[in-house]
Order: sequence, then structure tokens, then C-alpha cells
Amino acid sequence: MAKAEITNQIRRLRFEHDEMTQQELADRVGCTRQTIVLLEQGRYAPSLALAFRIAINFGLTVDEVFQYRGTGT
Amino acid sequence: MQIWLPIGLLAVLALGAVAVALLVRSWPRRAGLSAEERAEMAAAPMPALQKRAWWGLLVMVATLAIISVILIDQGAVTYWEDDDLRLTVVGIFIAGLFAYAGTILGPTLRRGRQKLDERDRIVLSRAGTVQSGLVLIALAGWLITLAERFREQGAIPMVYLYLLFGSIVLINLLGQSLGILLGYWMGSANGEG
Repeated sequence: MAKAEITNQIRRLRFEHDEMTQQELADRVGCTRQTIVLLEQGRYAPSLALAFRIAINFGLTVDEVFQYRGTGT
Repeated sequence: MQIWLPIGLLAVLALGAVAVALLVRSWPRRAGLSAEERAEMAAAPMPALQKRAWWGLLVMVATLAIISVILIDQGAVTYWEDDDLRLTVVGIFIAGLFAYAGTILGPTLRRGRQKLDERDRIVLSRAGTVQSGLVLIALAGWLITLAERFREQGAIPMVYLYLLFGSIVLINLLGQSLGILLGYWMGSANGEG
């Protein structure tokens, strides 16, 4: 299970939003808690749709939640 | 007891083991998880599809094992000539299919009510690779076994057509469960779409 090239701020944002649990976030954005765990560990890169749902849930844009750290153009 | 049947089954199992080993080697290797990450993963509940795949695997292994034991014990010729035995085996076969449908196929088709997220759907779609691989291996096992067993006669008894078809159906479903479980174990399915 290699680390994905996309990092994110989900864990920090959860804590800043009344210490939202992983399960609460999973229920809000329509995925399983296991997917949230893998996202926070940087071991899963979400689809664009899920990335948008997560960003909208926190009231942010996608690039404020997700960062690309790859070297490709 | 016909000696060629167990030999064929063993050949299929051996080829299957080699195929799974090659598959695991060809997929991206799991990077080492820290103790904290392992604990976090362990605390997260198993996705519904993964739980159902375990049940599906159990159902298919049990069905294959029961039918194999009966056929090895009684022999293919007896199976073909004894109506009661044939009905019993067909009954177990159909019961296995229904039980499998209840564990994986039904809930998967009712996606609206079943919680399948994008990662579940990716894992499910990629399980097809394992399914087709196992089916090819099983067909190869049957081909080798039947060709060697009936080389001198130059013809294969019809009963083996039924056994071949039945075993391929069961192995195909076994492959789906196995593919789903391997997909979760690898955990590297990134989002698509």
C-alpha cells in the first residue's frame, strides 16, 4: 500500500470542526470509515467527486484540502 | 474411486496457488504501516462488501468441498448413472448459488440500499481479474486431466461436460470473493472517476 501523491488536511480539518469523528465525516460525504482512514494516512487518492464532497463539507475549495506533491507536469 | 478426479482437482488447486502468488507479487507492494496506522485501520469497521466477501468465500469453499468429496467418493460414472446422487449434487450446487447470491450478488445489485462507496466499487470491479484468472487455470486443469485420462479412448464421457461447467461456475464465484478480499488487503485502489 504505497503512499499516494496527493496529501490532504482532512485530519486537521476534522479537529477544527468540533472534533468531528471519522465516521461522521464518512456519513456526510458518503463513504466508509475505512476510506477516511486511508485518506488521512495518505494511502488513498480519492476521486474528484469525493474530493469535492469533502471540501464542500468543510466549506473549502478542493485545493485548500488536497495538495498534489508529485513531480509530473 | 477414480484416481484422475483427485489428480485433476489437485492440479487445479496447485495452479491456483501459483496464480494467486504471481498476482500478489505483481500488485503494488504494501508499504510498512506504523503501529499507530495499524491500530487506526484495526479500529475502523470492515466495509460491508468485505464482510460479505468473507461469507461468500466460506459458502463457495463449502459448496466446492462438499461436491468434490461426494464425487471423489462415488465416482463420476456413478454420478451419471444414479439419479438420486445426481439430484443431491445438483441440489447442493443450486443451494450454494442461492447462498452466494444472498451474500454478495443481491446486496451489490441493490446499491441504493447497500453502502458501497467508491473504493468498494473499484475493489469489486477489479475482482474480475482474479475471477478470470482462476477460471482459466481451472479450464487448464480440466483440459490436462481429461486429455491425459482419455487419451487412449479418443473421446471424453459426457458426464465431464456437466462437471466442467459446474466447477467453472463455482470457481468463478469463488474468484470474485477472493478478488474482493485481495483488493481490500492490498488497499491500493485509488479513486477513479
